Order: sequence, then structure tokens, then C-alpha cells
Amino acid sequence: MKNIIKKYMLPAAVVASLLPACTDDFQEINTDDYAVTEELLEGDFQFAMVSFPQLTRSIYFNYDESNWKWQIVQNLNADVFSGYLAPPTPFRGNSNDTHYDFGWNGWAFNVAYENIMGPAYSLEQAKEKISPKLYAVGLILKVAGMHRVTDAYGPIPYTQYGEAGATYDSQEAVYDAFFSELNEAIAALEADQDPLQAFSANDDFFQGDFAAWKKFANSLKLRLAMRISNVAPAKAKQYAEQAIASGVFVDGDVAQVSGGVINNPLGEVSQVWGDTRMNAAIGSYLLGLNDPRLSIYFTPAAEGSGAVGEYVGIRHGAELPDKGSGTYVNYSNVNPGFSGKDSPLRVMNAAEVYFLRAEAAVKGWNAGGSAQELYEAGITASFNQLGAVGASEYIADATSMPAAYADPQNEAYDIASPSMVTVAWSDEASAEEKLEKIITQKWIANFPEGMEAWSEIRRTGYPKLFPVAHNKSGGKVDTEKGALRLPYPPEEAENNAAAYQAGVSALGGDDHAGTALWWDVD
Amino acid sequence: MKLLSLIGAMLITFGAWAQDRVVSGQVKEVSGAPLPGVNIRIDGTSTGTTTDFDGKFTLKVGDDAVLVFSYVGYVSQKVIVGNKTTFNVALEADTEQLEEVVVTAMGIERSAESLTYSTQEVKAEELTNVKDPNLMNSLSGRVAGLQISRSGSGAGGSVKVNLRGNRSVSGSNSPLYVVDGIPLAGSGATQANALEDAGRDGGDGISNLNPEDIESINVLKGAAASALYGSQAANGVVLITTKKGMKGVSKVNFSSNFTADMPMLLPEMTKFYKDESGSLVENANALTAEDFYQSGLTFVNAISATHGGDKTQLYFSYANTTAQGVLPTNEFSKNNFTVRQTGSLFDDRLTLSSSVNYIDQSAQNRPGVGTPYNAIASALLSPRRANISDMETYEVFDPNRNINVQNWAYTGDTQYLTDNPYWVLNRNMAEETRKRFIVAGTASWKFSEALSLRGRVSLDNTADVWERKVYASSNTVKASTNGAYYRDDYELSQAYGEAMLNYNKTFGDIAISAAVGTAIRTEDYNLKKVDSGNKGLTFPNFFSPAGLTSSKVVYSQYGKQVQSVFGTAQVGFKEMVYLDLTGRNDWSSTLPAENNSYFYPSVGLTAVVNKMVTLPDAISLAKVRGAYTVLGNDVPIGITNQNYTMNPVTGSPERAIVGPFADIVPELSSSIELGAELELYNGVFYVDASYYKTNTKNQLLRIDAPAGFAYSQQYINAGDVQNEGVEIALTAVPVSTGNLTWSTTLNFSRNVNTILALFEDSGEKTEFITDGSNAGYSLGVEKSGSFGDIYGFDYERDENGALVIGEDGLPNGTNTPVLLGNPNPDFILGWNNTLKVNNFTANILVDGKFGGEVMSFTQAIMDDRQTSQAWYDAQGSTVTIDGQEFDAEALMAKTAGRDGVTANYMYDATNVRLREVSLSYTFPEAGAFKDLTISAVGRNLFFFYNNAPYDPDITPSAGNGMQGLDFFGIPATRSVGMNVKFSF
Repeated sequence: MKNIIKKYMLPAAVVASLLPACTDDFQEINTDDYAVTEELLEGDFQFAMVSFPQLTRSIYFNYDESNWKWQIVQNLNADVFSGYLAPPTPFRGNSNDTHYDFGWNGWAFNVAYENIMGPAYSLEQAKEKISPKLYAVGLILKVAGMHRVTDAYGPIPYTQYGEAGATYDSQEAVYDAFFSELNEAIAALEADQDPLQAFSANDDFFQGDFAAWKKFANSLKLRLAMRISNVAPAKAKQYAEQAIASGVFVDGDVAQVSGGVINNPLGEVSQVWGDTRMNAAIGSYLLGLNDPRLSIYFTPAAEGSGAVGEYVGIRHGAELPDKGSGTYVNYSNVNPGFSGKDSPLRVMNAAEVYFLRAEAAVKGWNAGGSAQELYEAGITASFNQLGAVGASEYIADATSMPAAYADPQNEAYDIASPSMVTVAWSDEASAEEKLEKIITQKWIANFPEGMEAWSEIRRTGYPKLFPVAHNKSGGKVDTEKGALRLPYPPEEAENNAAAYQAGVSALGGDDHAGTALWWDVD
Repeated sequence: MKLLSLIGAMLITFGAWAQDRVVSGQVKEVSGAPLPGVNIRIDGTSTGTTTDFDGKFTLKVGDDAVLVFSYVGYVSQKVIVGNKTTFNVALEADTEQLEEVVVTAMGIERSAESLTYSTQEVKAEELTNVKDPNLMNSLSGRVAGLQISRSGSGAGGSVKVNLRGNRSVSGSNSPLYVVDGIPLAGSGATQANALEDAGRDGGDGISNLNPEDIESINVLKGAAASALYGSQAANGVVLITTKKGMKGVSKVNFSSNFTADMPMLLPEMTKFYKDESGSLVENANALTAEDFYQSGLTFVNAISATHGGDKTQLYFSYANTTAQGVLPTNEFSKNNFTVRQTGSLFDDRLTLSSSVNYIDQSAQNRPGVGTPYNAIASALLSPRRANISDMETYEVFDPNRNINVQNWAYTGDTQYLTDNPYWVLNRNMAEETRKRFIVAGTASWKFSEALSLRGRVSLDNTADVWERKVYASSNTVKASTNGAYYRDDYELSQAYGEAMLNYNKTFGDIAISAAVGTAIRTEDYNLKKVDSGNKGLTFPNFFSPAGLTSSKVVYSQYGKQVQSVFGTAQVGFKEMVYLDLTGRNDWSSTLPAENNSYFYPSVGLTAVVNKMVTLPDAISLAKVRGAYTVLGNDVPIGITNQNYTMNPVTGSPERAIVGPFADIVPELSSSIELGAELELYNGVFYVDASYYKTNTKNQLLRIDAPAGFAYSQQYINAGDVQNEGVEIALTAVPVSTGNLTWSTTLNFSRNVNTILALFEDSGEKTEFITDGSNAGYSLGVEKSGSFGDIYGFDYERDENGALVIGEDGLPNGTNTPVLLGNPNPDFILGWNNTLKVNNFTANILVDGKFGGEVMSFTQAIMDDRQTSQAWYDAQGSTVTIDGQEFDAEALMAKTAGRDGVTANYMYDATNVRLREVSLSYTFPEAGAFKDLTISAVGRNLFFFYNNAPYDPDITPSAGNGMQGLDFFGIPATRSVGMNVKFSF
């Protein structure tokens, strides 16, 4: 017996004991042979480059071509609240986010954290290994993507992102961080604008033109400065004047994804899915003001709408019949020539920048021109960008006013004109009247970027829109004021309870859509 | 199962004998007790009798007759009549039978009574009597604790098999399949885990096998039984023993099986629609479910030959399965070849055996999950004003495009993405093929009677190709104007090697059976994925990787290796008490280097009570047993080190969404099992009862990270999922007379699943495990919940529980999902009966699942689309909820659909059905043909009870996150068929 053990058990035990020594290649076995490794990404600084397409395509979101994400990130909230678009589809039995009965409110937050903060953090981690101007571009894109998030929700985790136990910052702290990041970026781009070959191919916005990036950074800084102009006027003036002096977008400039393969989500959702149509509000302004951009942005209503050949939009928060009825789905659609599936993803244009400067000029700040010059330059830049004709006649029109709205399917939604605003500038007008003109024209020029438009509506109260047709917020949202923010994603309250509570306390009100943000003061 | 073999030995043949005088006598046990019910038969005839209560009998016989005395559990005796008239016979207990040998883990043979855990065996004839293209379906109701759910993917599709409840939230809950000691590779089938997912399904690994090759299946239910297989076996093991050549037997077996499947439990549809003026109009030509489905047909033909020489034995088999599904254009075919050879050399000291299996299978248009490419959805949602005859002409020539395009007036369904259902069948076609070979070899060397060494190697290689061609003019959300093309080329190979040293020896009262071994298993996966996305193709219907306009072909290759050493020892004392110890250490490549080694032990104890104390004679076995086992489980491939992933749409690398998890530790299950077995009269009655409790901790969970975390999601090790249950398997032979035998088996099992803990920090959170779900159905796990909990929308209620009424005067639905039910049954019963009368054998299997709730999206969406009879019935009627009356049609319009109040579409899952009926006749020997048996078989003939609008046992997918839902799945079928088998 003992011999047997010696003779056979021992060799077996030796064989067995050798096994653990063979685990050296486990790491290799556990790795995809075709996977992109960090080592592989060293070449051409790809470890940094891979972040840029994701960042540029995640502001107006279409990064992974999952159009449904864009749809709930902005099309079923901000695009509707801004008066631009409205769904013809009775989602969730006519009780959904467009009626202030929130259910998709977490996506604008989560998608941005995944696709903006994530890659921006990767760049931050690689900061020592890349040129400062490349890092600067990352910072600009981070601010461009994340200000939309804080403007929708209020306080957000920002300055401590990536640290253990990262908490929420107040919106003021987030804005301070934005300005400091933009200043860092602008300084870096001032110092060095030499082209970087590896970056040019990955730059969806400006194809490697760092001077353009600097202009974009200043334009963005101006946008954010004006946003805080009511709550922090001194800071706002300082940053706005700095930005204008350093050089902002002028006629012909635009920040948009136009290179490579594009899948414009608005094109898909409007043309293919049939899930978004013209909002009654923008229809009222464009029709009433005889705006030539109406037929550029939209197509006339089709068979089944009850108003074939006319331009007719849908009221925000209407109760709609099933899409199979073929009624509202045939209202005015987005013009595929303007926002088709291959159209650029527009993030910021020159017209907006002129209007921001015009507002600064009205405030008496140094805006590099008079309010009227800048206001009219904004309208001209918008017409030029869109290829619209008749800018001078339009600018001179002092009589046309936004039209009343009539719903061919349901007269319960008929409503009087929301505003008496006209296009033509008048130096005699009050500052408030001037503000309404500027913001109204900026709103028209900024279509279809509903996130920015909704923010400015909350800040300025302009343009005046039709109130929500059915307010299903349960008393949380004031019908006249409209939704003032998006509630935080419900999972944050569960996953990140302590930080979330800090966020709600910084918000200074309940976590619902009726609580005003820091910069939203009347 | 000893009963069945005995029944087999009692086969009766016809004959003619002179019967001219009466004999009588008494039959007793050796101990002297009279034996009632003993069979006495005149050898070579079907004539006979049974003993009475006192063991006495009388019978008419001829002089040259031979009497055969047989009784369950006793050695049969033959007595020549001669001129005797009185016979006093003493039957000896059949020790052979008591020493029944069971093949356990790693092929180690153990005496049944020494086992410290529960196993249950199913014999070949139970599987091949009523054949199913996936043989696991034949196990339903036959094993206590085994739950089988057919997947919705049609003939040959995967089956969800679960033993003793779900224990892993994110990992597999399927058992390991072991064929002749060698673990089968996983199938590589993609099982949908999301609501809109129609992936390929080559069938799980087991379904590829030829049922005719199987000798028996032994189900090792608990961790204790399977511990030796390591982490793969945490969900139990299905051990399959195949047929092999036998010494001295040369035989050819042929079997032919035909089954017709009739769809049943079809959704009730209306033929009415509302015209523009709002009045109801009937269209007699509207498509209904009855029109759309067809009868399915399945043919299985198998031939096998065995040749047994003295030193070498050979087994060969071929089987062909051809099935036409109840869904038109759904076809399935499979060819199986098997060759097995066994030889012995050097005075039988060296035994060599080898086997080769080749499987060639193809399937066309397996139904998927959800609506996009699923013709069932397009049919059941087809507008009521459309005519069948128009639909059947599914394409027309378009002179503008110079191609055939879809003939459909109702395009543009951007919600459910339906098309003309016949177009979907023929022009959104999916096809898949699988080629698989399994080669295995075993060598064992016997050093002495006590000591032997065995080595095994195998290679299991599966190559799948799956393609979907979506023709131009399909729904524009599904495909570009030129169409869309999807293709997966998937190859999985598993190499397995094992060496084991066995030692068996008895020293006086002590018997030792021990083994030590080592094993290595390497899996290698290769995937090539072509996905045209909605950017589409360069020109119409150019279905080729070269035709993609922008997307790219994505390759991935990954692997896994597990190295193991293991040992087991059983010490028996006087055949009364057995102590079982096993230990295994695994090293897995999927775990981080510092945590990649994990050890798990098990200990078990059995006491054979009837050998320790004197019990009444009737008790032939009384046994109690207990076992404690710890089992580790590794994690999915590649999660410890992944920082970048390839985006399949853009084809470029991007930052991973989930943070790498370098500190991951293996999942750990600990289980206790207690059991008792009692056998009376050597098998006339047998009961095996088990209690178990398994706690699985360190679950790998992928959760949403806090917003400030550097990744959107993270992995954590957390949770404690408990499964506690009882199983009772009861076998009895209530009647056993000369020409009538009735044996019956009753299987009962109950499993209670409780999630004791989930997240350590935050308590009351629900984690949804259905991918991408934002709708009225999602499986969620939360603390104190139970695995499988279905969440959806219910009516919203205020603090006082009163309905919240909206501006429209109708009750509102909730916006956040609430718990609606759980599909898992409270208990399962299976009752199998075999009746033998002369040469007739009848088998009846009744199967019931009690408790549980399931959801029907099919009904919810049909109500929304106004194609259901329920929609018609709602016209002009009212619904009362909490005493408040509402207009039924308006309420349905508000609450139907997948985002509606899905609580309205929950149904009781309790169902009891006649699972299987077969009637066979075995002919007396006729010429060259032997064992000629003809059977008529029926499957799923009817429900004794079912309240759901579909068969609740059908699951849309075998994935963890898709249970208890009907989402335009394939309907249940009622099957009848014929089976002929013979040998020569």
C-alpha cells in the first residue's frame, strides 16, 4: 500500500503542483486579441484622440447613433419646452415629460456623464502626456457639453468628478469652474496654434484649426457670461468683455459636426420615426413675422392634417390621438433639406454670438458695436448661414407680429398670439423690449438647439410661448412659467444618496421641475 | 429506476402450450415470510398468475412447462414442472439490485445507497418515446427540482433549464452538461436579454445531441453532487451516459418518429375595425392567428448499429431531424453522426475508447423576441382592414426602382416596426447554420484491482453562421432604403484534458474509494460581426460585408482557461456509514492574478439505517444523508482589464462604460442538503426526500455608478441570494400481476428564492436586469425580493390608496415601475404513470406548475393596436375599478401597450397539463425483426388548468432578464405522432 502511494501518488502530486505555475498567460487569455489596448493607443496620441469624436458628437447627442437616446435626452423635453418641436405621438398614454409628468428625466444627465465627463476625464488623466492646446480642446468640449447639464438640472457633480465620494457642486461653483477651464483653454490656445496632424483627422468641428477653437471658446464664454448676467452681473460683464475682446465667432463661423459620417438624430426622429413635428409656438412666430426661414426649417402639413399645404404645428402638452389616426403626424415636419439624416450637428453659430453681444451692448458693456448693429448682424448671419434671402426687408419690418394659433384637429387648442414683438430695431424701445427682440431673434436663429433655447427662455422670459396645454405635474410646475428644470435621475437618489442630498440642498428647493435654478432670477 | 429494468425483463411473448393440469403452491421470502403478488408465468408464454395475500397460487400447466417466479427486488427463479403438483418456492432478495451503481461526478461509480446527496436518473426510453428536437424538453416533469421552460425560438431552440432555483443575478443559472464524463462546451447561442433582441440561437449545447445515442441521464441536483466539477457545476450537473457497443451483441436499431404540431392557445383577434366615421366595420378577410400559423411537422429518423467483439466494441449511429415550424418558413434540420469504439489490451489492463460526434444543423427564421423582425408581431398587429389575400402577395414590382418592393399600404409603423407579415417572413429572413464536432478519447490503465489511472481528452468545436437579410422597402426604422444586412460568424472551441488516479479497496469493515486528479479546460471564442446599421447598403439588396456603406466588420477573439486539481475520498464502514470528502482548487484566467485561485470543499455523510438497526422486513432501504458544500464561480471574460471597447457602429475605439474591476473575487455558493430515502419491498415503494438551502454571495453585479464616479457603471461583489427548497420523488409499483404492471412516479419540488442582501450601502434599491428596458416590463432584483420579480406600471394611487384620476377622467398609471409579480412557481408536480398489459405499454405524464404570475405584452400591444377581441368587447362597455366606473374603450386606449398599465396584463401562471401520452405495442418476435414496437404519442394534449392567454411555460428567451413574458412568442403546440422502432 505504501509503495503504491509512493509509486503513483507522488508523480500525480508533482503534476498537480506544476499547474499553478502555468497561469502566467492568464492575462493574455483574458484579453481580446483584437481589442484596443492602452499600449496600442500610444501611437499618434490615440489615447487622447479617441475622446474627441465622442465629445463632439455627444453635445447635440448622436454619438452612438442610438437616436432614441437623443430623443429622450432633449427632444421630448427641452425641444418641446423651447417651443421648437412637439411630438405627434401620444407617448405614455398622453401623460409624459412633455406634459411635465416626468419619466425620462434621467437621460440628459446620464448620457452626458457617460459621453462627456468620461472621455474628458480620460484626457485629464493624460494631461501630462499631451500638448496643452489639445487638452484645451478637451476642456472646451467638456464645458460645451456639461453646461447643458447644469442648465437643465442645477447643481451637479463636477469639480470632484473621478474622486472617491465626489459630491454635487452648487451651480455657481460649476459656472466658476467653467470660466476657469475656458480661461485656461483660451490661454493655451493663445500661446500655441500650430497644427497637429493627428488631431486634424479627429476634429469634427474645425479640422484641426486651433484658431477656430479659440473663437469657439470665447463664444462659449460669452454665452455663459450672459447666462449669469442677472445673478452675477459683475462677473458676467468681466467675462463677456474679455471674451469679445479676445475674439468670438463672426459671420460664417459655426461649431458643428460636419465631417465624416453623420447620423443626425433629428433627421431620423422626424423623417423616419415620425416622432417630432413643428411646435405651434415657432410656427406662430415664423408665420406671423413672415420669416423666410419658415420654409427652410419646416415643410407644409400633409394629407390627414386638415390643413394640407399650410404650416401648422402642435401645441406643447396637447393630448393626441393614436398615431395610426394619421392626423397630427401629418402636421408640419422638419425640412429634410435642413435637418435630414445627414445634416450637420449644430452646436453654436455666429448669429447667436451677435445676439449675445447685442444684449451686452444693451446693458452698456463694451460689445464691440452698437446694439442695433449687432442685432441686425445676427439676423444677417442667420440668413447667410441658412441661405435665406430677404434679410434687409425682414430687418425693416416694423409691423408684422406673431400669429394666433388654430389647431385644425382640435379647436380647444386654438390660442391668441403670444407676443406683439416685431423685427425692426428701435432705439427708443425700452431695454426690456430690446431684450425681447434680441432673444426672440436668437431663438429663431438657434433652431433646433432646444437645450440652449430653453435655458434662455427661463433666464429672460423670451420669447413668450404658449403655455403647456395640459399640465400634468400635479401642481409642481406653474403653467405660465413652464418647467424650470429637470428632476435628477431617480437612481442618483438611490445610488449616490449623500451626494444627491447635497445637490438638492444646493438647489435650494425641492427636486422637481418647478424649482428655479441659480441663474434664473426675475 | 430498477423498476423499469425489471419491467423490461418481464416482457411477455405469445405462445401455445398444452395446459392440462392444475398445480399449486406457496412463495415465501428466504426468511419465511409469505410473499403476496409474486408473478408466476409459464416460460415462453403470456400465461400466468400471481400469488395471493398468503403467497399462495394455483395454475393450469402442461408437463413440460417451466414456471418463472418473479417479484420486484428479488431474484427470479425458474422451476421445471415435471410431475410435481405442489411448489414451495423461496425467493432471495436481489442483492445485485440493492447494490445499484450510480455514475457520479467525474465518472466515479458509487453504490446508490452510499451517496450523500440527491440524484435522479431518467432512462433512454423516456426520452425517445415522444421525441422533441431539443431533448431537454422531454425531461419536463420527470425530475424533482428540475424546471424546464421552452424558449420562444422554435424547433431545436434553446431551453431554459434550472435546478433548484436561480442563484446568480448576472451569471449563468443553467446546469453543466457532462457527456461520458466530459463537460460539454457552452453553446454560444445568444439569448436575448433585452426587449427588442432577435439574436441567433443555435440551441444550447445539449440540444445538438441525438437522443437515440443516450443510454441514461442522471441529474445531479445540488452542489454536493457536482462539487468535483468545480465552478461550472454550481447550478447542478446533467450527466449523460451514451450507448456503447457491448460484448457479444451485434445489432442494428432503427427508429422512425413523426410528430404533427398544432398551434394552441392562440390570441383571440377581432375582425372589426373603426372606419373614419368611428363606426365598427367587419372585414371577413382580416388576418387572424389561426390563418397565419400552420401545422408543424417533425420527422426524426435514426439508425444505430453496435458490434461487440471480445476485445473491441463498436457503436455507430446516424439521425436526421427535419422540422417545419408552426410559423410558416420556420424550418429546422439536423444530422447527427456518432462513432464510438472501445478496446482493451494487455489482459484488459489497458482500456481505450474514443468517440467522434458530428452535428450539422440549420434553421431558418427562428422566431425572435419583440417586434422588429418578428413576423408574429406583424401578423397579430396587422390592421383589421387589410385582407389576407393582399398580404400574401407580399411584393410587387416597382418600375421606379426596378426591383420588387413590399406590397403594403400600412408602412411607417415607427412604434412597433411592423410590416406586411408575409414580407417579414420572406424578406427579413434569418438563417443560421451550425457545424459542430466533438472528439473524445479515454485511456485507462489498471495497475491492480485497487488502483487505476485514467486520462481523457476532448475537443468540442462549434462553428455558427447567422445571417439576416432585410430587403429594400422594409420598415425604414429597421433598414435603410437599400436594405440592411447582419451576419455573425461565431466559433467556439473547447479543449479539455483530465487525468485521475483512482483507488478502491476494502480493509475489513472499512471500504475506501478515493481519487485525485487534475484538469485543464480552455475555451476559445472567435466572433466576426457584420452590422450594416441603419446606414445600410451601397445598392439595393446587396447582402455582403462588401456592401456596407459605413459600418465595419468587427472581430473579437477571447478565451478562458481554468486549471484544476481535485480529490475525493469516500470511506465506508460496514456498508452502514459513508463519509464523503471532496476538495477542488481552480485557477481561472478571468479573475485578477491575485485572486485567481480558489478552493472549495464539500463534506457529506450517509447512514444506512436498515443496516444499523433491525427494521421491519418490509423496509429494504432506510437511509439518511447530509452534505455541506462550498462552490466558487469565476466571472465573465475580460472584465478585469477592459479600458477601451470597439464601438460596433462607428468602428472606432471608445472608453469603456464600465470601470475595470481589478479587486474582483469569485462568487461563492454554500449549500447544505439533507435527505432521507425509504424503500419498501425492494422497490415496490420508494421515496426520496431532500431539503436544501443554498446561499450565493459575492454576486458580480453591474450597477449604475454614482454620477461623480469616473465610469457610468461599475462592478461590485455583493449580495446574498438564497434558495431554499424541498424535493420529493416517489416511485411505486402499485400493481404487478402476470400481465399487468402499473408503475408510477410522483415528483414534487418547491423552491423559495429570497434575495437576502443586494447592496451593502444603499438598502432599498431595485436593480433592473432586463437590458435597455424603459417599458412596462423589467425583471428587477432588490433586497427581500425574489429572483424573477417582474416590475411594470400599475394604476397610480394616492396616500390613501385611492385611484389618481387624470384630466381625462380616467385613472393614471404610475411613471415608475412597481412590483407586479414573479413568474416562478410555488411548487411543481410531475406525475408519470406506466401501464403494461401484455405487449401494450401506456405512459401518461401529467405536469403542473402551481403559482407564479406572467405578463403578456402580446395582449397589451394587440389591445393598443385594436386587433384583439378584447378591444372589440370593450366597445360600449364599462370597467369598474374600486367601485368607480370607466368607459372600457377609453380606458383601454389609455392603458394598453407596452408602456401602459401593464399590471392589467399579468396572469396567473398556474397550469396543469397532460404533458405526454404514449401507447406502444411490442410485437412478438417475427423473423429477422426484433423488438418491433409501434407507438402512438401525444404531447401537450390539453390543459387541465390554465388561465393565461398563452402557455406560461414558454419563455421568450433563456436569458436571465427575460422570464415570464409573452412578447409575440411562438404559440404552444399540441403534438401527436407515431413512432416505430425495431432492431435486427
